[in-house]
Amino acid sequence: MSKVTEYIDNLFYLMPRTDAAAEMRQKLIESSEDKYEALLSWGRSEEEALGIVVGEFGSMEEICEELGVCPMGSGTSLNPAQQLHLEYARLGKNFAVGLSCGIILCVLGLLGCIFFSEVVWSDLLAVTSLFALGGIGAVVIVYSALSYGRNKRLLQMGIPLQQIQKSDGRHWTRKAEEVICSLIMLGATALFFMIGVFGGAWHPAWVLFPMGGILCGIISVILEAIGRSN
Amino acid sequence: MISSDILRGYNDIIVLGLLIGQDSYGYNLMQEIAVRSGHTWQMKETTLYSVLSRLEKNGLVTSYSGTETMGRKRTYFHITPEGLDYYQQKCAEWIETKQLIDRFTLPTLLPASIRDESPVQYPAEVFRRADEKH
Repeated sequence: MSKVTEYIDNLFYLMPRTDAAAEMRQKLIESSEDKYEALLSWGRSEEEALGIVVGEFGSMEEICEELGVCPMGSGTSLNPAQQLHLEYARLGKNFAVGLSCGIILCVLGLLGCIFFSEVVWSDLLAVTSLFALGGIGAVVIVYSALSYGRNKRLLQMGIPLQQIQKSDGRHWTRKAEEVICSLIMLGATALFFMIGVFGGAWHPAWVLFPMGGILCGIISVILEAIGRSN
Repeated sequence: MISSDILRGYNDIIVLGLLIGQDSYGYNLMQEIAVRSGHTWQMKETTLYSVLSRLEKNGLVTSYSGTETMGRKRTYFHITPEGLDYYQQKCAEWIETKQLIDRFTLPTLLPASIRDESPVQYPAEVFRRADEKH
């Protein structure tokens, strides 16, 4: 597949999969490929030719308008395609913010650990700092990664997130399930290390992990039942 | 620099005008537009195809797929009798519009009677420049 086709495919990525959109995509590819080949035959390099084709391509807004996926004058409410684009952008931003917050928290936890053990000489404070800050950081990272992955899949299927939140009563239970389970597993890990380090009892302490898993399972079943009854 | 907002209403006649007499395909139309405008203006790909799609929806052009000697598949566009009617209407509209705007931008084109009655005192400069052009 040529670069031009790839470029246009990307532009049509979030378009509804209708016959009209497919036809429009095909026509745009035809003429852009013609132009690209003409430019190559006039001695332009592939990069230059692609640059010119992209530069003279125009804006997808016109196409959206024509295909009726974003009708003009529909007031201030955004049309579905624009909404998807916006949510996609917002999703990426949220993920980046969540990830960096998580990483900063982890680094702070580590720094606190070093500070308390080397300067204050307090093992308890050092371990607390590591697990508390690092733990919260890990929760933030896990949570933002999970929600990013799920929401991205939804957006790729062309389903706006706001619609889901409005129409799907089970949404908050699924969210709660994710948060509670990651907290349980994190708590289990923290407890495992504490019992191991302070009590030297690594051996029976591993039981915490299967127990955490079972607890997660029970909670998810309960939350699902609540979601259904709603 | 011509703003695309002003041209927006006339993209239809640009495209229809090129289809009179011979059917054509996307890239060829864009080339023709570039040549006729003396390479001073280039219609964007998305503009051309949204215009064509609208014209087709309104029955002013039809499309069919054909192959050129090079073997690549191409969509050709053909102007319908309704399209021709519409083109002529739009051309007449443009001539009227042009004459109206000329009356405000080129006061020398006004008949002397109107020019003399006009309460607006046009600076001599305006007439000299306009006269030089004509």
